[in-house]
Amino acid sequence: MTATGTHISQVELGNGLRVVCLADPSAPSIAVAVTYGVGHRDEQPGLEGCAHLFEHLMFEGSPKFAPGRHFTLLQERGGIVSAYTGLDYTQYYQLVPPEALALTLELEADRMAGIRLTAEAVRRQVKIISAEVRGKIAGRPYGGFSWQYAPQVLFRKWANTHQGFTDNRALADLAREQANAFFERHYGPDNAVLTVAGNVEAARVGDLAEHCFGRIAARGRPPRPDLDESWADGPAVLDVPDALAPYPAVAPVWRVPDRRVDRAAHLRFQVLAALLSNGHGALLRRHLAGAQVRAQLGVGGDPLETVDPSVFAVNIVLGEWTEASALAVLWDVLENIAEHGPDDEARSAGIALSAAHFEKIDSTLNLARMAGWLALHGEDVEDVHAVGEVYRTTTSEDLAQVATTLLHQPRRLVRVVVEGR
Amino acid sequence: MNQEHVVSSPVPGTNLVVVRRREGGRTTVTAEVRRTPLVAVNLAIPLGAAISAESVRDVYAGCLKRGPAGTTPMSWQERLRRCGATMRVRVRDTSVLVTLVALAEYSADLAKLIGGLCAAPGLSDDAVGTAVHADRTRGRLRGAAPAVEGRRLVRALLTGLQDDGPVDDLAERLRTAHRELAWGDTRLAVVGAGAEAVAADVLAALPVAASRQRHAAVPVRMGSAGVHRVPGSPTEAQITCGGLVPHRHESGYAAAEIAVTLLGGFHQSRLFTRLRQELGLSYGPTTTIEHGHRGSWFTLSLHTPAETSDSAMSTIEQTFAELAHETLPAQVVAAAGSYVGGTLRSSLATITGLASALGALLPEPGPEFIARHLRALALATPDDVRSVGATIFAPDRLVKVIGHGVERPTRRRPS
Repeated sequence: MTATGTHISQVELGNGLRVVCLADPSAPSIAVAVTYGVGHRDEQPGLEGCAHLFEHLMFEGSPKFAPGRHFTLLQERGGIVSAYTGLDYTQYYQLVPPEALALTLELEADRMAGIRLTAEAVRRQVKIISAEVRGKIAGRPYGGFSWQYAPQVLFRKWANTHQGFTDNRALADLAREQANAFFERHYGPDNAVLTVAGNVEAARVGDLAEHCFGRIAARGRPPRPDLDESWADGPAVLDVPDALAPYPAVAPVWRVPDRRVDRAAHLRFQVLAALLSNGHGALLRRHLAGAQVRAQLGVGGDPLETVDPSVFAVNIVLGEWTEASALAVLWDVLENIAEHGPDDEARSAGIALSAAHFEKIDSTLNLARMAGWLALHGEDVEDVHAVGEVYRTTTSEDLAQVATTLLHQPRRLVRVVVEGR
Repeated sequence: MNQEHVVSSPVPGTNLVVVRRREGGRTTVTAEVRRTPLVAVNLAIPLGAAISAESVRDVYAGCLKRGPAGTTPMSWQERLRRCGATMRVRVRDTSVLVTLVALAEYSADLAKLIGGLCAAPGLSDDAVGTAVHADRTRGRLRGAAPAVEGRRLVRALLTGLQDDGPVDDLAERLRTAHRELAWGDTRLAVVGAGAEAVAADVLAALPVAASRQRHAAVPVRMGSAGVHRVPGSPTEAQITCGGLVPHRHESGYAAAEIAVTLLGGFHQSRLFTRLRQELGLSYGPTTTIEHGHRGSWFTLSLHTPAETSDSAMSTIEQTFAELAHETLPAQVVAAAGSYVGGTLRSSLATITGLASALGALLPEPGPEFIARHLRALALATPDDVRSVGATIFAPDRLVKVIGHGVERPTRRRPS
């Protein structure tokens, strides 16, 4: 039993599917997430965007359910359905009323068993993804800044540096054999985690999981590509043109320690991010008045999503500042933290961040999603709660160490260049 | 006269108990939820007409974010952090919404912080100048996003709410307006661990003033002919459409929400099917309904490649026309109603979501609206939806905006 009243239990089915239940009788609904060990980093050259394409194709029908039925069956029962592809995972998640749990698991199991891979469905989803990527990147100012570009200046291996969230029209001609091979390789039960959170008992989840998923044969967990990167030397800069941006922007980016080697050392970068940019009085925001500042750990919305190698970035939309003057301020702030530490601010930033983490996992859906990432990455699922404690106990000396780490890395920048200037 | 009213399980299927109190003009709701060691406070500060201009409200909100008089933003932030608190400030047409989420163990300190902020926000010339500067940057960034600008224009065309441009003597005007705020109309929602005690502490710390300002009803505009064009990306077009819908207290509201959802918003929505699944012109049309004292309105948003914006708009106009006249199958209407109910329930499943939802329902239609609305959604018939569709999707009541082009967007902000 955890601090939030959630009881966590785990079991592995005979076919290798890992099942995690986070039971909380006070929750009004149930969240179900199926997290597969395939993300942008698992793609092959020429097939950039394939992981994201399969996220879409998984809604194009399965042996028992027609295309789109996954959405309609759950939505007409008051459910919410979505999916997301990250660097290291693809996750399908839904929030449903308790009476729709069995149906949800049946739907997920059926498409894990097989999907309807037609040429028409592939072409349709490639076109939809084209609209999605164009809208999210080209259709908005600072689209993709800096998460989309940071790996390109920090890493060297193709698996880490290519863009998976991309408008790759060539995928429309994906051969049926290639598509089948991708599905067979990555979408087996032994390469997946099922998490169920909310108003449900662990025994029922275990029974339903066995009933729905137990019949699916293991396909072997595929090895991940070689993601190891040396800590490269020398500066690097990537310029990104932007037709909508009213101001130029710059983001110094750094590599961070592996969370699976030293969880606390990794998560403390998130405390530094909060110290620098969370709230109007944040350290860097008050020194860069008029600029927009956002520091963040990881590629995506949450630090726990990404495994090593991962990224720390300080995104600065410059406003009236010049790049040189804004960066000078940042280096001064980091040097000051490295030398003197932020004193009481470290403790209060950690307290605020731990509260923000509690707020995040107050959502049953977030809880199921986070547990899915952790279990998939081989980390302790109890960490969904323990990360708050790491934030809370971060000291001034810890943050001085984090700042020192950043100052000793070579300077890598992603810049948004205002087109036409 | 003080009144207390217990609303049992406003969300069917849960054991949530909401207590509503009316004390003078103030309305408070509390819900005890102990799932996390947090408490969420949603405070609606009623604005007088003097700061109801959008640009001025933005600056007032910006000053609140920077903390009370006599403190720096740094020290204010530090005090919030020590309570494990995060603060968000949003503007509505007649109020500024302050939402704080904090560790419950620091709730007494939190109440004092809220009281101090509301009694004397930093409104010195310097503080206002800083807020204006930040707002100008934020406004320009916001204006650069075609989706945001489209929604603002739709709202302005439908309600008359728009940026009034430079304002003279802004700091003095804000100080005067703050002194005249109708604190007696404060609306407070507290959800989380120890909610009752926190609400009592916050109320005790707030300024006391009679309710003395009311916003006169302003006639709304009923749509606008043609398609408005605003700057945007050279390669991507942002389409935003909107129209007025019945208010929440009106009988047709549930049917209107279903009709808007059937337009775009879930997998069976007509525009989702056509523009995404059949034509591949857009990733996904989305719809929302917003509420203000000048009415309620829906907004439809989507983006599409620039070269297909005209055909996408034709499809949208055709769909408006169909939904204004067609009687849809009962099964489709029921599915949309169930989906809307499900999204409402899920929005109430976190303490911050519940606090925001309850706060937005004060003083009227009140927390009872939730259960009433869920019933109305379940009971809405195809005839109800067609009837309301004929009104809200009538061509002369709609506004349409396309954001596209290379001209760099600019926005006027207060001086």
